[in-house]
Amino acid sequence: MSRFTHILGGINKRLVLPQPLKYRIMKEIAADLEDTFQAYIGQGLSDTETESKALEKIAADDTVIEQLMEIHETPARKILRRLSDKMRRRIELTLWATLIVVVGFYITTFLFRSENLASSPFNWLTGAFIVCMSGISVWKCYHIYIKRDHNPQTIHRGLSLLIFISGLTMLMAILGFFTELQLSVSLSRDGKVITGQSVEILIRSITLISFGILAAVSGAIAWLILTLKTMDIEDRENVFLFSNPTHNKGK
Amino acid sequence: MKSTQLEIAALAKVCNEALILSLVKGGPHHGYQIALEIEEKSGGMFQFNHGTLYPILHKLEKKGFIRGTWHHAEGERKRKYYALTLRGKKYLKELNVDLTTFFDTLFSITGGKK
Repeated sequence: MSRFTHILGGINKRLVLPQPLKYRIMKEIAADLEDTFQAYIGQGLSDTETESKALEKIAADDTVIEQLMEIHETPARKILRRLSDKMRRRIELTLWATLIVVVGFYITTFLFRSENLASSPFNWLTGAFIVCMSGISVWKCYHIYIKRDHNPQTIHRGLSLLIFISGLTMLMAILGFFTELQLSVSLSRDGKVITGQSVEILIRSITLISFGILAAVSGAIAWLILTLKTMDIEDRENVFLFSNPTHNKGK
Repeated sequence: MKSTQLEIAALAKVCNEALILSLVKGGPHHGYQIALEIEEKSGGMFQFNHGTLYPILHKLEKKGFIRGTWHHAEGERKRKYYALTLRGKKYLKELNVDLTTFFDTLFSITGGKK
């Protein structure tokens, strides 16, 4: 593979297709290139001559690359390509903002269903983190699975933030739970609240910690799925850029 | 499937498709073999750069005229072999009819092959 790294690397860079499709096409080209090379070597040509002849025979110029991209374009990508960059960006942002508003609305409705829940600042903070997590997860899923933008330079963007916010949500839920519990215990000890109110505070804290943990685990699962997919895409990209790929295991 | 009227502008494309389909009709071939065999069988008249070959192969595969499968023989590298499908057989028949009609008409005017 290393003999043609520079040739394949050049094709790999120009061929903008989602993985694993791109990997399969590149593998096909690599195998044919190797066969062509061997055939010329068999004819007694020198390594340099052989390489330039093999490259000439492969002739994967921009027109060929463009044709391949056109053939393998998904319906979603076809629609997106018809739109101008500005228009596409506007539609993406509008849909994304709508989703954030919808998730935010449902969380607010949930909190306002009980005045008791709405009174805790921890619930509001946890709710805000959940909105952020949903926003990042949906944005990444859209780019990786629908738009299929598998550019290795941008594919990681947002993933660290997703796991960070998941952790923050968990932390906030635990912190809120113990603070509420502490409040309940101290008020009961001082004799300032009756049993009913104490139970309400307990319910609030239990709701908070269950909701927070559930959301944090969901965020972590989304992060894991997206990270594995990202690693797979990177591996397939690296195969044709470096002779010794770090993660490639016999695909 | 309807037989289409062959246009001069599409002649090269149709010829390429017919050559590839008739070759894989004889059994599964991979890209390099296809290019090589066409060149050999035509005595060098039809030469395929692999670059030209991939879009045609992938288009035919997408349309369901050929099916590509990966084979990994012991001690060899993984290769994608293309085989003709039933749909491809029908399409090849239509292409042959179109090409025959086209060249018959052409020769009837130019006084070529009788």
